[in-house]
Amino acid sequence: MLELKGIRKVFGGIVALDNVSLKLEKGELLGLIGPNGAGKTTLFNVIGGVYKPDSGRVFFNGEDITGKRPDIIAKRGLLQTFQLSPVVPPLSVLQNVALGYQRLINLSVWAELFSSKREKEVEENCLEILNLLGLARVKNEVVKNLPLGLQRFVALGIALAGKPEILLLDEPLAGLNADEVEDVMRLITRINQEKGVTMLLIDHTIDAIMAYCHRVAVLHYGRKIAEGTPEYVQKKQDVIEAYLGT
Amino acid sequence: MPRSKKLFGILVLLAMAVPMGIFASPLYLDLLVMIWFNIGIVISLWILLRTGETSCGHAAFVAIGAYTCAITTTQLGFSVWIAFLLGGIVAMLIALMIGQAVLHTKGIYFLVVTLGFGEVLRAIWLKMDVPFGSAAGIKNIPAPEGFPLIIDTFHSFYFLMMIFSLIVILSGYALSRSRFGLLSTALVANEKLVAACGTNIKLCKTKAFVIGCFFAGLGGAIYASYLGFISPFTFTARESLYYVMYAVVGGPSVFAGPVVGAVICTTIYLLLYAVGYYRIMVFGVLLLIVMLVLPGGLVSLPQRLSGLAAKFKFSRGTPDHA
Repeated sequence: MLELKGIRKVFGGIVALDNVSLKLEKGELLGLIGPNGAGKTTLFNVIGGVYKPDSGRVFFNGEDITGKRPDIIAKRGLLQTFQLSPVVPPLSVLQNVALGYQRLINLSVWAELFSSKREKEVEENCLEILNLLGLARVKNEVVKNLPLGLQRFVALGIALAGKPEILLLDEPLAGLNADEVEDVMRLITRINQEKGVTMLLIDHTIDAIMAYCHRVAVLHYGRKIAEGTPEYVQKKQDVIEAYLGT
Repeated sequence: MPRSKKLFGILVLLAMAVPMGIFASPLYLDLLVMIWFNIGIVISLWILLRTGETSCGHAAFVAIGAYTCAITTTQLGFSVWIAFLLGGIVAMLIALMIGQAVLHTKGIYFLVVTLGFGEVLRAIWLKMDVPFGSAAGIKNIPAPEGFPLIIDTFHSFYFLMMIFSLIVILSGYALSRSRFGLLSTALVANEKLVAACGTNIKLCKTKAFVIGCFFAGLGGAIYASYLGFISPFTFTARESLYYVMYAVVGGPSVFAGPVVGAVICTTIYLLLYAVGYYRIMVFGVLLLIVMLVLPGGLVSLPQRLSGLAAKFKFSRGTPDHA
């Protein structure tokens, strides 16, 4: 479904990604881990079209999407959530989720301008997602007033509103407590199984990744040093060294 | 405030605007026409400001509309009504070209390009005798024919400008409530996310720019017909900066902001005519005070006052134990 072939990305003298190849099958939940600065977020940015890779190609459903604009890639069905600013703080929960619906609205260039009628339709669809995420009761709250855990749910809601074929999640668990981690992971698995959304998940919460993901890939200094089932990866010597040092 | 009450207030203000236009003396009538004109222009600029881009060449697009109207009526013999529309369309097409060329850059670049563009245009108008009439400009721009006369042409123009302004206000309001409005607000706060949701950011900003410039051109064309005269000195970079300032002084975050800013600033500026040469200085100091005291713009005044009142009550109400 998603295939990366020999991705390389250099910033100045720093090699952020070095010959990274990765393949995702339909319906898979793949965890991507690695120490800070390993190149995980850069990889997401390359896939999502924020950066152009220096070499290598990205294929999505057999189509070459390397270096295409983010909105074009999103329209194809590849959505992502961001680590640092996953929501639009000054808007309400409902408005945030309505933004995510953008991929499915095919308004002509000018119809978008005076489209209050269509917004009703959008709102109904968004409410469905808010119910799934348990956000219906705070739908009119401004997002910046919500606790961090709920903001993460809103971020998921934005991505889900676009009904993605594949979803890239950048550290959805960062800064959450143990209970919240459980909630978010359970929700992610549910979306993966019930809606059949293929997912690529970055996080540092190794326990959760190992417990829920089908396969795990490990990046270290821009290189993929391991890929396989959680059990296999956990036993691999390189991975243990990358995390604990030699 | 409930919506019906707000609507009622707006209708009362509108109802007041009609007799004002009929009974005002010529001097005040000119002020009132300027107010309506500036409201329309500032709202047209605000459509772009909402997307986080600032144009410092908005007056140039007003002037494009004005020159289009002047040339098509005096030299090509077009109907004035058609000239108005052409003014908007020409400004829109030029905005489309400039938007396509530079709107993939962010912030300061667009500001500098629009500022430069305005000055380049002005140089062209100044140097070209045909068809722009160089420094002397173009005179004898006619008023629209078949114009329903209210008292005289002067008063009729008041109502024409009012209708122009109301059209811009209604369109601006409809835009701010549409999906396009939602996208504009969101992309200021988090452009990366909005793009990743499937929005073409450049297209969105270009649209805002093009629509804004259409209204600017339309307004400029009507203004040229009102004044009967246009020269390279009518709309300069200073006017562009004023339009930005009106929006900021009023409070650009809400719809009422630019309207309030345009009304109050235009009134103060024109009434300061009395102090002659010191007008700009006094105006500048007034603006500084407003920005220092009310960073949210003039529209945040009621909120600010009620906040102060509550504070005052609180300090009076608590007994002093010291």
